[in-house]
Amino acid sequence: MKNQLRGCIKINVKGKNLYQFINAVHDRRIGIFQQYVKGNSLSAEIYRNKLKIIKSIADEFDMELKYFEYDTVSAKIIRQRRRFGLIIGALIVIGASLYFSNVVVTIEIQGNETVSSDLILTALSEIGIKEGIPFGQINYIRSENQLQTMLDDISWVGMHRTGHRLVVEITEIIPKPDMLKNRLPCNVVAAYDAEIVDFSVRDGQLMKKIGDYVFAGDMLINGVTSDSTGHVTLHHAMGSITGIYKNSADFQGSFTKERMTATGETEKRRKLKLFGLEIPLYFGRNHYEYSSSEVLERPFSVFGIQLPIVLKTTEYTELSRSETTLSADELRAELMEKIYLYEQNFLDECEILERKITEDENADTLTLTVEYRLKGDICKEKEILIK
Amino acid sequence: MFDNLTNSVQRAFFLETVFHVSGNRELIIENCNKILECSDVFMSLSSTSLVVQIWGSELRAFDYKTKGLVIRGKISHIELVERGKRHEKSAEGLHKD
Repeated sequence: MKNQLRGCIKINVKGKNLYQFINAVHDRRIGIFQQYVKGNSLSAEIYRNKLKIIKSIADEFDMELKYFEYDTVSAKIIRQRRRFGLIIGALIVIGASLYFSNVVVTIEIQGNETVSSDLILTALSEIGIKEGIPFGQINYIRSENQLQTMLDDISWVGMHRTGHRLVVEITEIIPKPDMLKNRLPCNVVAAYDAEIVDFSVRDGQLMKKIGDYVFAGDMLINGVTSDSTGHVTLHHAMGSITGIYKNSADFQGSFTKERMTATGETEKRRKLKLFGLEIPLYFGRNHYEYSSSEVLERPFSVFGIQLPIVLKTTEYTELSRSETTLSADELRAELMEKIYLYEQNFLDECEILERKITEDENADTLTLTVEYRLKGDICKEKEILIK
Repeated sequence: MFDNLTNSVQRAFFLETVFHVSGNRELIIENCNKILECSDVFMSLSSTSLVVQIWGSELRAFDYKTKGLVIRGKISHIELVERGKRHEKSAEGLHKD
């Protein structure tokens, strides 16, 4: 097999001074192989870089030199030397390979469940770690400590390099369970002014009976009991006392409102995200005064393997500021919707016995005052021993 | 006496002709000064004190950069002749080239 890098040239030398030529080559210590003489001609092989010297020796001894180069890798490359596109392409590939093997191309976060990856990436970029930074500039131990102190919900961080990826392993803090204060001595007092309609006491001494009217703060179940010998026992008073009580809520709305409405004009702006570097594929700026935007990222993939090349499309929708005036009915309907939501969210554990809505309308606003008559639990725990 | 001295010096400085024969396929010669004849059936080499004559077929000479020569091919016969006592016929053959 020929030397693929140094190149190999077959020479054929003819002439009268053949052995003088052979020994001159020998004296100059030139590597020459496969040499033999047939008739008056020498056949041999030399490395490409020795051809010049061989030519000069052949001239010196007045020999006729013929040669051709074997097809080796270096010969092929030299043959392509005028094809600048190939050379530039090869240089770009080599350069890109060298560059991307030394910088962070992707950051992979592992082990996070409650802390979002975006939050971790933002924290990493604050400490100078983002896509495109050379691996040599990362101080792993320091960065791990910094990230751990920046994010409260992280108990441990580990970073390591895998190829062109920076892998950030996260261990999150396991939250401490809430303390159940079931054993602290306490009384149960009334949360509202109410009429007691039902009760169920599990611990403590009931202080009221059905039909009694109580004010907010009145004791319902006593957590301090004493027996006939004067021995005092502290309890965690527990129970459920149902009462009928009143509650009210105000809902106010304005007839005139400023709204942002879409004009129907949209514009798409695309960016090519290449290894974290965003290359805009558009010119100019977004000229909308008010706009909302929606970002869609579409990564390229080959045979199911996701590449670090993403097409990021931002769609801007133009908005215009307009002032609309609602009629009383429209505003009432809006407020009624709010009332419905309030009841669903805050009064879902009570039974609404009565609902009385009163309206108060002036030039700018409409106020709906809702007075409820509710049936529900009126208990509120109150600790006896205050720290 | 002079011959003895020459031999001693050559031995001391490793200037003697050294052969390494691998079967009949390869012959390595160290301290080869000149190629006197080089064809695919016969090769004649001049070393410090010997003329080495090699017969065979498909003989090829390789790489004599460091005063060494490798001969590959099918070697059938090697003859070593002291330089001063060469046969007239052999010498004649050399000068013809």
